[in-house]
Amino acid sequence: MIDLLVFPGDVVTTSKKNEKTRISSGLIQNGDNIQSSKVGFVRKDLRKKCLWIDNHQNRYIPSVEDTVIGVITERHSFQYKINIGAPRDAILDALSFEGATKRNKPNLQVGDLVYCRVVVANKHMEPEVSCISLHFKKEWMTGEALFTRLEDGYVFECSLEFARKLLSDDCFILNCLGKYIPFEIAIGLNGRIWVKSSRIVLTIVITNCLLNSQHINNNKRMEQMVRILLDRV
Amino acid sequence: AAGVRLDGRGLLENREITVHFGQDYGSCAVSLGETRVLAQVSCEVVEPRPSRPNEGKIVTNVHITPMAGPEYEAGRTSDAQDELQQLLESNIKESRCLDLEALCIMAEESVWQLRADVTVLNACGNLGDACNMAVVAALKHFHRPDITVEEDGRVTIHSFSEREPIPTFLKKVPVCLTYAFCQQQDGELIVFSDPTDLEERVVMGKLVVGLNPHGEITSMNFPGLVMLDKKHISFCIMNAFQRARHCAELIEKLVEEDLQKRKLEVHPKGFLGKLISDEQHKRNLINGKVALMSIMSSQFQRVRDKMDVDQNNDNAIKHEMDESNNHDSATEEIDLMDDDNDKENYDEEQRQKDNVEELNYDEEKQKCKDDEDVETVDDDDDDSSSTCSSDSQFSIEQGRSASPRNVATDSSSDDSSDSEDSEEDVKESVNVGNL
Repeated sequence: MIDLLVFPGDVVTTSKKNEKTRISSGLIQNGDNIQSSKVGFVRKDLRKKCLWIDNHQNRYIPSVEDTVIGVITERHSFQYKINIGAPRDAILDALSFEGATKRNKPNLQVGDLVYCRVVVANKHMEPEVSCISLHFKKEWMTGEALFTRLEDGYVFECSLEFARKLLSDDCFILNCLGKYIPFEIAIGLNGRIWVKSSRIVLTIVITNCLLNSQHINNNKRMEQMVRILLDRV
Repeated sequence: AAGVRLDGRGLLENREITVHFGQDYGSCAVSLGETRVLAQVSCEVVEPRPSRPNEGKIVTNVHITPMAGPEYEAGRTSDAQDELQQLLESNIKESRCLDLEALCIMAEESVWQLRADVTVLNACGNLGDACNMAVVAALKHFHRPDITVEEDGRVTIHSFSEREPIPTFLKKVPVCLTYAFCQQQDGELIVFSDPTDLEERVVMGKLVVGLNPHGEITSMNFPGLVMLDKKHISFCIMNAFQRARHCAELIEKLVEEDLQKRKLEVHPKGFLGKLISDEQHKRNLINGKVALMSIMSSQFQRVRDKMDVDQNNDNAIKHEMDESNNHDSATEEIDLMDDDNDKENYDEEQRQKDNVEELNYDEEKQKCKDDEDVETVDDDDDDSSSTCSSDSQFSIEQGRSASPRNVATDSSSDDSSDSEDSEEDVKESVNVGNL
């Protein structure tokens, strides 16, 4: 079942009485059956312990517990409207920051970048995001919280599977770049990547390295490419 | 602010131009980096304008649909569309680059009307240049049917199989170049050419100048809100004149190549013969260039070692250069190592590699019997030998071993390979380096 190529309508598995199966993007429940709605490979996410369909896609459909990078489009008294590339803009509650109270909450402006986590995502409602992390309990004032506003840096868009590849444990290109340049990176599963480095030129080099690495399979060649691009700086 | 562009180009550097020709005469697709534009020229017999009874007509049309980008709406109201229409009209119609009197069949009764339809396939900045180049290339490529005029005034149009079609005659080749202006913090204007779409959005204004290599300016347009000094305008135009010659020569060369190829083939394959997905193209390009650059840098290392040994540096370099094939590119590499530029080099290396690839491709062409589609292979080994075998089977890539996984014979009589073409890795044979 895992790594099986499925087409829309194919039954991936049936839900059993005593077992729970968590399903994520690309899978829908149809009675007792769990069917696929995309063409792709069935994968199992070990961290989230869910099944999902892996394919090449640029358009982001939100699903719960995804970490995404959003751009604030509207500011209201108690919430922000944030664009995460989904069919509908998401809502970020103004108090959904660690340690935030009505008097003490972050002041985000329209156009700010926020790294956040999807909390509610289904096709009937507007998606909701939050900057509260379940594991890293740093207050928002410290500036060291995991989900926070992203300052400076540069954002670019990419395909969803490239973002997933970068997030995998054995991502060669990030380790390779890290050997040569110190940089900060935030990877949104909505296909947005934020990069920040000490110099603008280095940020551009990193961006181009990442974009090039999409098309290179060979590790040795990737290292060569990085070195070539860095030589000129 | 640092003088660096997002894709690593220099301020006055243009993106790579690729021109593909379709199956019919007069259809061509131009890619300017990511921007893609398709032009199709067609003709019909109409009555001439009463004010000019001896001249044919030419009509240009630009279509921008949401296919070009999400910011374009379906419907002919976008500013970009109006701008492009006007640009093409002034550059092509009013510049009188086409010999319209040659299109006359019978004065005051019937003339040819050429119609150039341009469709924007992907809008990634600098649509003006791309559309203009597409129309010009299509016009140069276009052949119109031969006709006979009977005594009683009837006109018979012969099909292409009956009589040889007649090429159109472009007196001058109009070229369009776009320069964008951005204001720095100290008030100085930065000029850069060939903006991408991200750059276009941030830019304050542009200067779109149409000219031809003879030295005539056919059109000048200043979209945007920027106060330009005389010095800015004259700088752009000086630069444009230099580039115009390159562009015009490029178009002429590519059209010639394609027309030559048509004579050899019974059924021209057109776009299908070079159908390759963006990803495959990028993969070939990037992998090839990385392999090339690493070989070159290792060669250069040898040169540097020799430089340390030899007292007279110039002689040593020249000696090494004559030995190796990569004459131009290696000297370019030396220039880049010497000066202290902050320039990011994603496309700089592309430019060098394109030059090298062009050189290599020409050499290989002479070596091999069949000079049709060239194929690259995604190899994992990095041997530094390039081989070329005859029998119309060859793999090209300097620095790769010749162990082709996917090889197809490309003779036009072999129809079975046509279906496989789209699946295998095919390198475009009309891939021209940066100007």
